[in-house]
Amino acid sequence: MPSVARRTWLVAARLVAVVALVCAVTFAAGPACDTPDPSEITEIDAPSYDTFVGQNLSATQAGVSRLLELRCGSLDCHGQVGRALRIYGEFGLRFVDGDADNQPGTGATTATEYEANYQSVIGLQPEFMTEVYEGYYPPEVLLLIRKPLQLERHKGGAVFVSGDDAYTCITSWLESGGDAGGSVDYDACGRAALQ
Amino acid sequence: MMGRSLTRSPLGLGLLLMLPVAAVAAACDADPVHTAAVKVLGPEVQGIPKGEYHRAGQPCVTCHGGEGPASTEFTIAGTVFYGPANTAAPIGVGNATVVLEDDSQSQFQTVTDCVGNFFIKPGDWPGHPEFPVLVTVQGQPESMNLQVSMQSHIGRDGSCADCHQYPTQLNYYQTPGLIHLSPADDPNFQGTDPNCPVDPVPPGFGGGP
Repeated sequence: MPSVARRTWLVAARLVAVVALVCAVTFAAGPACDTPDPSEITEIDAPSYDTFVGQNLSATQAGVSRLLELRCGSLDCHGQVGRALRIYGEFGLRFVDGDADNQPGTGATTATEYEANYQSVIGLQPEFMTEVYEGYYPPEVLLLIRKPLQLERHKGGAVFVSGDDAYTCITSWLESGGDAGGSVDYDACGRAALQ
Repeated sequence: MMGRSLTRSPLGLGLLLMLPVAAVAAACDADPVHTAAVKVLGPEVQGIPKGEYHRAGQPCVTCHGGEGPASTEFTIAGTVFYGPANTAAPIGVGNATVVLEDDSQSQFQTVTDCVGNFFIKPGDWPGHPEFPVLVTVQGQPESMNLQVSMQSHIGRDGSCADCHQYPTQLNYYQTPGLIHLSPADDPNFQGTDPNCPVDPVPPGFGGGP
């Protein structure tokens, strides 16, 4: 009789364990299967794409994208598919879109690549980007500035210092909206790109 | 019974103690990414001993970067080829001078061996390079003065071949191709040193084994 009772107890314990396991899996899978709410969209108020690329520039000027391509987008840094703030460009990673199957070093940066670079930059910290563009925060809250200034760890080290041409180029673009309403310093961008 | 006999016999006890040690050792593969990067390079090629002539065209600093398995450390290393490898058999160039200038404007130059390999050890250029680094390669592989400069800079990677890969349909968008002195291949060029102990056409590229 004791053995029957023991067996019954074991069966009951196993049953409870299985039920608990099923509940745990269901509980874990529930949130994981929760689909994102399509109405929850983060809108970005950011400097314009046109000023990022730069229009009708002289030979000594450059757009913000050009600066990022040359200073950040080498193939061993941000010109890699797996890198955050992925940068495409003439001398680095090329965007495979079937229309222009360029190799690094051949063919100018394409419109698709400029667009991808723009999305990389404004999409890195969309909420902060909006706050900076609207003048609520200084550019130094953005990783785009913090990393190259080495205010935060950056594997590529210090890329520019506060106040130099590269810094002036990017911050003038970031602050070109809102109430301040400045303009992009394409001359600084050009000097920084040529360094 | 089984468990009791395992813990009672010295052999069984030893085996039981080995289990956690083995588990810890397996978990201590400090950098699985590095381990995988080394593994993907494959074994040494038969007939090419470990040394200055081996693994031409491969990313040297993967193994020679301080994490092993190579004991010799390089800061920057690579292979200079003759042409852009439109042929299936890219050929290394010896006696080519590789000139580097780092962010502090310090310059250093080194010369390739007969398979095109070059390497810089930390003691060769103490305290340098400070990235980014600009590079120019020059040489006279067929009594012609050839010189080529990198269009961009090296951002931080000491292995030239991490970016300068043999171009294929799968990687063309992320590599400028092998480092090459001449804008075109020359089928008549057979290497700079007929006495080179190793064939300057490295295996594994294009039509190579």
